[in-house]
Amino acid sequence: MKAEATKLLKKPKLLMILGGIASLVLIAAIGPVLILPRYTAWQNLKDTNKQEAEKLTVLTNNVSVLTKLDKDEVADYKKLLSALLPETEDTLRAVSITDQISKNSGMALESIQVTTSDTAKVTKKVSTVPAGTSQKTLGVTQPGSVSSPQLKTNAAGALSSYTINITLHGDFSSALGLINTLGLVKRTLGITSISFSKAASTERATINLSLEFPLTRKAAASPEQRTELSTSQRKALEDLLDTLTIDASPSTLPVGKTDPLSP
Amino acid sequence: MSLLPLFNKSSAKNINLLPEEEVAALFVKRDLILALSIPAATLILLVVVFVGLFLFEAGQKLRRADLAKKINQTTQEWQKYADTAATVVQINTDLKTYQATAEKNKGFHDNLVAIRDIVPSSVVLSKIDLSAAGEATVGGSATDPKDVYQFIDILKKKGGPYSGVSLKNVSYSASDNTYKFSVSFVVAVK
Repeated sequence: MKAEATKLLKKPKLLMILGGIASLVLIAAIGPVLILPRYTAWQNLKDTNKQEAEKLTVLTNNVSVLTKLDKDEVADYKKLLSALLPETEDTLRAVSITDQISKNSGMALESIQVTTSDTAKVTKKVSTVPAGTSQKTLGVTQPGSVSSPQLKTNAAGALSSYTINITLHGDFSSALGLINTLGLVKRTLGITSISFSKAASTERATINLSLEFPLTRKAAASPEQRTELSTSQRKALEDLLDTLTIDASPSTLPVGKTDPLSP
Repeated sequence: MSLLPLFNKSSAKNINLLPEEEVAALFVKRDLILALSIPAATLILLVVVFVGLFLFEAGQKLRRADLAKKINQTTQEWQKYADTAATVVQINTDLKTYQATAEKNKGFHDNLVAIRDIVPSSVVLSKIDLSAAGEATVGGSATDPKDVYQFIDILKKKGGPYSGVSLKNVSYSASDNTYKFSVSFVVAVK
């Protein structure tokens, strides 16, 4: 045995190989138990800290931006956007605006149909007006000429938009003019569909326009969320402040009549 | 410099006058030390790595505590402007809604113009239905079927904003001597 060991000791290359193997065994034994967990913990902390540092940067930037914000400017923008997207249904304002843009287009307004939340149950999903529910109709309504007005609600069940259907008589160019006019209205309203029909015997076309009036969606701010008004957003808002001219407000007629039943 | 001569005892000249057994024992001792030094060095290296990682981790822990403190302080500072922040977020959201709607309206305008621009002079349209997605159904009439043919041909061949062209029907009526047609397609001016 001793002779074998002495023989082995006389082979330096073999000793080196054995030393190398011992090293590998050490690495295999110690590495996963002591080194790897430390390394993983260090890397995880590093990643977390990187995210936290980014969060801090955003936070610091947010505070810096917020302290520098011009409060009057923000108030002006808020006022403008409250007019563009009100929180609550502004049906009569929308009707008055629709009436005004119809008149401005040079077309003859035949009917306006609007569904308010009083006339339809608001559900969590998109709901249509049930058959037989009353609709506030202005002007003469042509039965079947417009699709059913819709009320849309958001996930919280709050009304998110309502639709006004209008029927006009005019020509193609006037309709294009009306669409262009929408860009001047101080109330967000989007066309959802347009339909032209013209009988050979008539001079003017009948145009059915479905307009959606969205309401604002409450947005919440969080410290980690980047909060700023970019240059392009400011420019867009300034342009809107300058260009949006069409709006409607209640009349200011004297009130109180001796005979309210007489004209 | 090659280390090989160190292991090659036979090539080394024995200039000592020591007995051969003693020389052999010295070589064995040296070889053994060298062989043991490999795992020993590995162990030292592992300890160094472990200590290094421990120190790095400790450093990151300190940094984390510092960051948490700073975040807390900045969040408290932000709370003073929370209302303004909410207003700014609301402005951003509402502006996006307005711009998306305005863009949609512009799309309607451009799509109607795109339809108008390809109607041959003798064709008279009696119906145009257009949805927000650009789905159009157009009906009209012409005295010459070739004029209807031209309209449909333009729609099919022009490509670009026009796609999915499908002729729904064509009919002739002797009472008014016109060919009536109905076609559906998608128009999307970019």
